[in-house]
Amino acid sequence: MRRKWISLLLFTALVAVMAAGVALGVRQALAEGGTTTPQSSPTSPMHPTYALLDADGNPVAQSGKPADMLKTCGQCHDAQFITTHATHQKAEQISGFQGMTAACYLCHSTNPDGAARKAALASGDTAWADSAVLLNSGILQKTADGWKWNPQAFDADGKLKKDYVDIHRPTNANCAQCHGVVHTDLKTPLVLDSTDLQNAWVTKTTGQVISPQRISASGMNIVGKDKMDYAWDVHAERGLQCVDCHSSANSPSARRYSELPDYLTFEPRHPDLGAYLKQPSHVLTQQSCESCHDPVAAHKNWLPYLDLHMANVACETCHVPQMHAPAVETWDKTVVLPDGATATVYRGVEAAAQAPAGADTKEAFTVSHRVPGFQPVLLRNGEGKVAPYNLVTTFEWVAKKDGKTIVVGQEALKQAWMPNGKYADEVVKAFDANGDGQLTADEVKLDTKAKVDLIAKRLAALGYADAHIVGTVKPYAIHHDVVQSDYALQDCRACHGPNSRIGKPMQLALSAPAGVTPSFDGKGLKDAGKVITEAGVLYYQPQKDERLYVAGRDSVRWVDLLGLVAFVATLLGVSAHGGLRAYFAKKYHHQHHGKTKPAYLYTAAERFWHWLQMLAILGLLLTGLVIHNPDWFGGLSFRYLVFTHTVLGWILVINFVFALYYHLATGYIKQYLPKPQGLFSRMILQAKFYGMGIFKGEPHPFQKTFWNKLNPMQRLTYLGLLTVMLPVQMITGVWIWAARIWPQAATLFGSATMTWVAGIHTLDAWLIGVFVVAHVYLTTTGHTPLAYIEAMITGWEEVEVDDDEGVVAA
Amino acid sequence: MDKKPTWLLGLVGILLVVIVPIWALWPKPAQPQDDPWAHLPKHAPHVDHSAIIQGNFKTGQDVTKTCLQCHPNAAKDFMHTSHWTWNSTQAFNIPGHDQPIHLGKLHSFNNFCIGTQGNQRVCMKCHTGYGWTEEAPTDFNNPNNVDCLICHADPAKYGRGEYGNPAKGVDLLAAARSVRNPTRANCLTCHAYGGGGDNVKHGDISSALYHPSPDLDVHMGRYDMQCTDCHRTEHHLVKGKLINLNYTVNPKDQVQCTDCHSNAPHKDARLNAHVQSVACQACHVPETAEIIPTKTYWNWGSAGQDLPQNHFFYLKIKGDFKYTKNFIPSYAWFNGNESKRYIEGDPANIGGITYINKPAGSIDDPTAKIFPFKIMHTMQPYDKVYGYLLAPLTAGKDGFWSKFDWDLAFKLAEPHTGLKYSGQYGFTETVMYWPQTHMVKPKEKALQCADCHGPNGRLDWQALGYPGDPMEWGGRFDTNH
Repeated sequence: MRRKWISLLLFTALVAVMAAGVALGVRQALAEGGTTTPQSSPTSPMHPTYALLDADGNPVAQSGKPADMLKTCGQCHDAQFITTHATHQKAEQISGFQGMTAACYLCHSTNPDGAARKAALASGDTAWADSAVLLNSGILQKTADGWKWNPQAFDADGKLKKDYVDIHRPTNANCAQCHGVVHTDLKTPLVLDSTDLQNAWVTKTTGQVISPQRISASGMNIVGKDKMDYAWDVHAERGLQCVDCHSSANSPSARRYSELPDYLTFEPRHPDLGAYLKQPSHVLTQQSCESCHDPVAAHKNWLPYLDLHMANVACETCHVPQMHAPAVETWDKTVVLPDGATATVYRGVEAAAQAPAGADTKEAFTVSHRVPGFQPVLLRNGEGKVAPYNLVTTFEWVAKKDGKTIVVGQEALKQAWMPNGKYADEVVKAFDANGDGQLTADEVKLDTKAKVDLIAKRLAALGYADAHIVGTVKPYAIHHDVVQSDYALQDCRACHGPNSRIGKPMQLALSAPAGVTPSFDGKGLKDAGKVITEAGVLYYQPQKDERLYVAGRDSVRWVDLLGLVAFVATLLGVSAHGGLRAYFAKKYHHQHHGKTKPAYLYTAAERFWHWLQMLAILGLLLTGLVIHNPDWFGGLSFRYLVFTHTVLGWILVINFVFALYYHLATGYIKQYLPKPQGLFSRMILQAKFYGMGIFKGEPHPFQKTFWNKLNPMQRLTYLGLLTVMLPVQMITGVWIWAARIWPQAATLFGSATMTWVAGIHTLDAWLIGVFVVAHVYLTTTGHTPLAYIEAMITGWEEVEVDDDEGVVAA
Repeated sequence: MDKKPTWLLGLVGILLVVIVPIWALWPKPAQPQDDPWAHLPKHAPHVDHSAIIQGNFKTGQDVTKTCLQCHPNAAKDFMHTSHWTWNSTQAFNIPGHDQPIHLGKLHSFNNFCIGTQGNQRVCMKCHTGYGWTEEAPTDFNNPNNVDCLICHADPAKYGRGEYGNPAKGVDLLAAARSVRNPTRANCLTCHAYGGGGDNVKHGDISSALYHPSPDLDVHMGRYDMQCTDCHRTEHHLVKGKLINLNYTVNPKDQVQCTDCHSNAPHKDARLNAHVQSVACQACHVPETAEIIPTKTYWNWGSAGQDLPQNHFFYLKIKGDFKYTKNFIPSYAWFNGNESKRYIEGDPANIGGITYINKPAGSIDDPTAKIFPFKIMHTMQPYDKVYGYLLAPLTAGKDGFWSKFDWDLAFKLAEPHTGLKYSGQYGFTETVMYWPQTHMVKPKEKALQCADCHGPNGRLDWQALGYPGDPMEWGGRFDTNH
């Protein structure tokens, strides 16, 4: 009986203990966010079940030890090969990422817990760091007693149950953990604030956001977003994954282009799938646009100078015209802000909003700030093409410590500024601009030498000798956030205009600490621009590329100046001459000119040639002027103007050729050849007439006949026009035109060929303009002001005659 | 010097030499875009009838007589159309039936209020005619029975009550004087309220289209287009047929997006490649019922109980329902015709799903495209002995809506439907497909790639017959897979 009681008691106690245990376990589980039984993953339909092995090669389900990924994955894959052929080896030098190539789950599972891994590494728990990634998977739990493998996840033999196998190729979300902002959900509006950029290096440095969502659907306060009905990144919109372009170098499904000879577009030979799975290279490729796109096919129907554009302009220049998210502009790592942070200034977000007066930090921008975005700066990349970049300027202390020159780290700097978590008294005294005994973010500024010296002195006290501030401007290339043709730069004037994007400077910093001029770190780029200061603000001025003559942007300044002077002088000259003529005509009322007689001077062909040439030249001068200075007539389409100019140019050339043939065939060419004998004295005579006689109403010095309708000055001028000015203009014009078909023409005489050709074309255009003014004026010097023009229309002119024999009837 | 004509000739020649090459060589846009506006019909200019129409109108028929004095053919033309006949002009060969069969609201069943027969009091509110009585249909051959006003009068001045007669208090003279081309408001008076309430039936046609925002419907909202701009009308025959009441539809008789838009309307060739397998509506009608929810489930079985009543959840006369707002359509292959149509007296699929209608088409049918549908699920009555669906007398005298007696309602319906009632009834599940084709969204609100493609897409590719997402597995016309 008693035994019965005891057993009942024991049983009750046992039940109570078990219940307590279960309750505790449940509580623990709830505290940890609950153990989850994941649904079987549709993303890894083929991966077999496997055992997680510890460093000794024993299943962790039995040993309870941390998993060794190289041992685990090494059961089938060549883990040694993978870790030594991995792009991410580089990352292993960064704290928080060490041993990254062995943390397989970080990139190959859904919802990995990278933060847990980082925390484990930071706390020195390196053994569990790689396993910690599995915290969200239901395989591993963290309990009060430490890390615990969930027995439910494993079979009796220590293999993972099928439902827990979740291995797939990296998704965008995997890459996003470290690289940048990725937002795949179309329905939830994308929002960003500065805290979201903490682990988003690519976004932080460039403003690139990978999302298929339309910018108009974003929850951010992006200026003009209601018109931005395009995705942040067209490739993300079209369902591409990061690894589609950044793919494993020996993946059988990835195309390899670079090593192919010209006559192949595809390499059909590839490793057997099994061989690849054994040794998958983790060196990730960097595909260029051309790996998938044929830019020539896409642009040939409308983009003029295709080869020149392709040779000098990276795809991204037009297809990533605008960044819609903020990116870092300046990192001032010389100061410590009241909240202990580095002073960060973002571009692409409204400056006024960035650091409200009295704030503790400069870093914060929130979703409610206005985001105008920014235009990337265009620099010549390694291939020499202009390509978009963001420039990040960093200011930091460099000092000597233990005989080595090093950058002063954040911790040491904090020590110097705020030894006990609070600004040192002398720091407060020196920086407290408003004298309230407190420092705010905008007061912490190294704007005087005294302040710089103070911090340098405090650093010296910490063992950092010779501390001085160094500034570096680093370009970050922009390849993502690509937009489709409809939203790409299509307005030629974005580059072909005085406000051209090419060569446009980019702001670097609103001020430099104590006037330090940062240096440009253009490693690998072909851009050696300059950091310039204007009103205290630092800018980067990209290098002017002498090879490039960007029509509409470039001009040879002295040519334009000279041309303009000549043109204005001629205009003034003819006005003065005309004024004098009118004045004297009034004064003397001279009954000028002698007897006149109608004479047939110009054949129909001559007149047709003349007027057609006039129309072409006038059109060419006008369109050329606008092409040369597109912003003078903002509303006109550059593209159509260039087209009209080209057609008119060809009309001029063809007309010229026909006219030449006509004049040679008929012998009329003789009219243009000056008679050498007495030419000089005859010219003096003509000049005297224009300078004197014309005012007095004297008759023209030379009698006009069909064969002798040009006076000596005219003969010489027209000869110049027809043998030099127009041919030169036509040759240079055709040359510029030809460069679109034969790009060799653009470099025929060295890289600056086009600058010369275009310069001559412009100069000659000015001269032709001068000729037109003088020519039109001189047509008014006939016996009536319109007589000459009338003659050129009808062919007949009332010519002055000395005697009847002088006139030759046609 | 009579040389004038010569130099004028020269001038013309010179101008031609300059202008002709510029004109001939002028850069053409890569892809000539069709101009949809060029295809819009021109409506006859409005004639203000307020001074023309005189008279003392006692009945609707009085008004019609007056109309016919000046428009003698109007009623004759109109009486050939299904707006009047409530029956298809064509008889269809429907599987399981030896004789061609006409479909129409006059007798065909649906899975909302089930049938109109015997329920003239309420249903004929939307028939375009007068003269219905409790006992008998209207005289379909009397032109005076045509109701001109329902389509042509300002709806603010005209409305219809029981049996389709002008509602009490309507000033028929004022209504008659307000006539004009039908506006959206005229069409919506009936078409938005099918199934017994606003947007109950269609999902894509609701009172929200009276004054739609540009994002609700690009045609009616952004451009203020009228129904008749797409549903072009000649001799009172309105273009466009609802598949549910036409087993097959000749594409000529259907309103098509391509009536105005080109077959390759996108600038992007990749999007244009979709056109051969995806209906415009699939992307441009991404959701419907945004403002007014639509009924997606109806259980007649719970009707007649004294439960708390609410338009959206339970009504004693109708049973319980579900409404859905921001309705996401279901997608199916659709070649414009039906593969199934339930005919009165057909055996119902008891215990399973009886399809009142089902779109025709499959992945193997090159004329079929993926099309958005609202799928309506209903538990509706059937005869346990005869095995066919039953249409109760509801609005009619002593019908279910007044007596709440199913047996009586089925018995009273016998002479109207011709279907014998055995005395035992049950409820069985039926399904109807309703094409979602209105509430067209502009391109900036249309679906994006990831809405269908990729891991979270809304299409069930395998159910549609693809091996997998065609973005990865290739489309049905690809030759290399």
